[in-house]
Amino acid sequence: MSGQMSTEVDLERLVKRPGPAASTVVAAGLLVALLTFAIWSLIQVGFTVETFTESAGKVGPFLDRMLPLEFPPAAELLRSIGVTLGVVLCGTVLSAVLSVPIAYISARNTSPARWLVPVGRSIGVVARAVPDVVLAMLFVLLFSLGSLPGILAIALHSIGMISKLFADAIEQIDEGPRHAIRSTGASPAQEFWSGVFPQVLPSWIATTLHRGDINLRGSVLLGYAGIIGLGYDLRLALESLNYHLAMALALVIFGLCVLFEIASTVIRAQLLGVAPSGVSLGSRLARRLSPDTSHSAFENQGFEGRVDAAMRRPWTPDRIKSTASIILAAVVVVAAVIGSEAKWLDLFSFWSQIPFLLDRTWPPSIEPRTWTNVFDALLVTLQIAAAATLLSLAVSLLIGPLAARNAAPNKPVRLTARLLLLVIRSIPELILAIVLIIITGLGPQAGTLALAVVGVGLLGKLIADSLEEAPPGPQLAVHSVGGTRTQVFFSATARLSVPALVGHTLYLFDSNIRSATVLGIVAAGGIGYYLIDATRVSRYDQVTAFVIVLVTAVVVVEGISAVVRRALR
Amino acid sequence: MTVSDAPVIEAHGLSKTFGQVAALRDVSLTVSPGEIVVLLGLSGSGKTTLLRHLNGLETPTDGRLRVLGEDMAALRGGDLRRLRGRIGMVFQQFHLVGRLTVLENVLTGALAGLRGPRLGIASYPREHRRRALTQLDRVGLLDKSYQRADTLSGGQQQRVAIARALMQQPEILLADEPVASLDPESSDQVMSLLQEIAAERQLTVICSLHQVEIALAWGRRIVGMRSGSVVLDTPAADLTREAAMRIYGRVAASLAEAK
Ligand SMILES: Nc1ncnc2c1ncn2[C@@H]1O[C@H](COP(=O)(O)OP(=O)(O)O)[C@@H](O)[C@H]1O
Ligand SMILES: [Mg+2]
Repeated sequence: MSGQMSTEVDLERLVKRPGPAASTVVAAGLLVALLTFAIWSLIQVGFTVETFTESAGKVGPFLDRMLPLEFPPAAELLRSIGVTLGVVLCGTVLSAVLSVPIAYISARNTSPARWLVPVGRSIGVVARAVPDVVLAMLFVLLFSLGSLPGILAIALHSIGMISKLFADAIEQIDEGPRHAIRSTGASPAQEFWSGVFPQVLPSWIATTLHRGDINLRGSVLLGYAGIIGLGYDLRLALESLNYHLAMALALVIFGLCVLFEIASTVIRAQLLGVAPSGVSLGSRLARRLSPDTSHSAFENQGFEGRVDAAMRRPWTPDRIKSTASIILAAVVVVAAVIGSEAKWLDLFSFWSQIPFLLDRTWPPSIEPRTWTNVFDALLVTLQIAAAATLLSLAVSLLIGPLAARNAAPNKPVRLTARLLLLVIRSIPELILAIVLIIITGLGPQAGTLALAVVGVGLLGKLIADSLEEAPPGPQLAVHSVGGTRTQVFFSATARLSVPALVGHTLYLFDSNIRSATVLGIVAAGGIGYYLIDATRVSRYDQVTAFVIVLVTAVVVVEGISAVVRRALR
Repeated sequence: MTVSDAPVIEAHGLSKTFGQVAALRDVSLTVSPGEIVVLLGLSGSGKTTLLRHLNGLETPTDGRLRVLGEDMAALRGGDLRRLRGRIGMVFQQFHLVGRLTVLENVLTGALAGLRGPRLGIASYPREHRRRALTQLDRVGLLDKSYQRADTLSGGQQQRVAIARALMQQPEILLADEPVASLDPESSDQVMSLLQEIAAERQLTVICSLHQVEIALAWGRRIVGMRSGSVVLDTPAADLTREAAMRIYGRVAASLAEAK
């Protein structure tokens, strides 16, 4: 505020400071309510010091139950790995293909009609809201058992994320080349494939790979919908209390996730010249593995003016590389199609089953459970999510600064903290939850702890990064006026952008609600448990009812966090 | 092919407003086959808008426009695209698709005559590829055919854009400040290339420029524009450098007044 503006009017305005905007009051109220809910949840979930020590005491017996690891026979294991990878890859690739037309109508600049934009965007929102495992549970009704329902479930659910990011990328293209192509007399379809698609191809590939990564991490759960593969094997092992086998399978899945991440990061770096910038284990390794690709071959091919000679495209390193990657991609897709062991012919016959599916799923019903039961279950899910978010926030506020160059007391501490965050980010939350369930027995605590740990990987990194980006001025100032290290530390920590932190935390809460549901399926309790239970007794009308409840809850929470985030901006 | 002297472009009272801004005011212009016309005017005088009307990228708010004998107001869908196919256009910012090869960029000039979308050089017919390479040879960039377009310099990219326009086998070539983003040397190259090509193919060329020097050296006919109106239309030969500068100065002065 400048001092020169001291006219009477301004003074008056200064004295009568306007009250805070209504939206800020609402946002603050919501935040306080959420915080209270989270603290209450933490108590309700039963997170006390005793449960912690009790669980720690179980680690010894747990090791006994788990060791020695018992791997399945190699042939069997390889087959399961093949099916799991096949299902994930087929589903993801199918989703990427289906996302093209949806993104085309969802992007404001390519949509053929204005009313199609919200239609396309809504398809994405709905696809995102229904977890793939729930879709798989329903699709299992339509197909003879096999992996096809899993593929289709992944494909439909992933459309939510891929089509959204793809449409966003389309909206950000350079319109010039597109107009140039239009001015040659090209049709809208030609304009898209020649002028738009090449521009968004890198983002499309990157998004698809990223989604593949997420889908692989989540694939364990498809086993609970009866889809064969590693997840199914793991479920059987858990249900028969064979923890030697279960832990071995969990390790295999963890290894696959790390390998997939490395592969996807290397591919992105190679194909798109995107340097691996992430801090996860995969990114680190990929940076080591991939050579510097920033200088592309720029040599002259020298056709000496002969058009005939130029008709044959020379095999430059660039061409060899792109051809090789196309062939490799084709081989991978074919291998996935075969490896998934899907009964593809079912795609032609399942239509006749749709009336049967509708009959089984409609009208929705919660009988014999009561609404009180359902709300209690939903509450448990929300509690798990809220308690985990609060725990993540508390731990991240400690570890985050320790991992930031300008706040850590010394280098060893910083490196240890960074490494910790790195390892955490590489663990699929489901695997962690399963391990914790094995350790602590079934229950919401295991789920909460799993989500809390995974959340630290995300929030801790965000906090560390935003601290490192903060301008060093104020910290130096505190230091130069004789502040202690601790004072410097707190002044730095205080510089954290509060709105950004709240935004990230709310985002974590959102995603924890989905995860908490899904964890319920592996017996952490809550509405997810009701879902899996309903499929066990083939009560698909219950499945429909619980899905509606769940989607409503997710949409409401997303709405709340959108309101809060907008008010904080 | 009928050889006639019927005008290729006839605009009568063309006006265009974007919201509150009048980009074109009552523009009338007739261009005969084979003419080389320079649109001269300061930035914001409406040159781009006028050129974009000529191939139907904009529709006028008012007035009549016939291009190559077609009434632009009546053209829709396929007919409009066929007409655009007969008109090549070159832009200040080149507007190549950077990730595609130079050859594929040139090939996109043939899309109007092809059915269905194309992606990749191999998806275009063989004789199209030969023709595209011939155009690249013509603009002196055959050697760069298989390089990514965004690895080329500005002057080279503009020559590729010209090759793309030539790929259409156009009857009219529109060039919107084709050298405004280029250094003097590339700019000379591009302007002479346009001149040679126009002569070789008896093309009608309409080129917008804001540099008086280039306009005088290059055009046969100069059309001056100022805040959306045509304020000058004269053979270049009748215009001395001083006279042009005076007019241009007046254009500049009145523009300053208007503000
Ligand atoms: N799409 C548009 N929307 C709004 N105003 C525009 C648009 N295109 C051009 N204009 C306005 O019309 C006027 C003429 O612009 P333009 O034809 O680009 O001039 P020139 O090409 O001579 O620089 C300018 O005032 C410009 O701001
Ligand atoms: Mg312009």
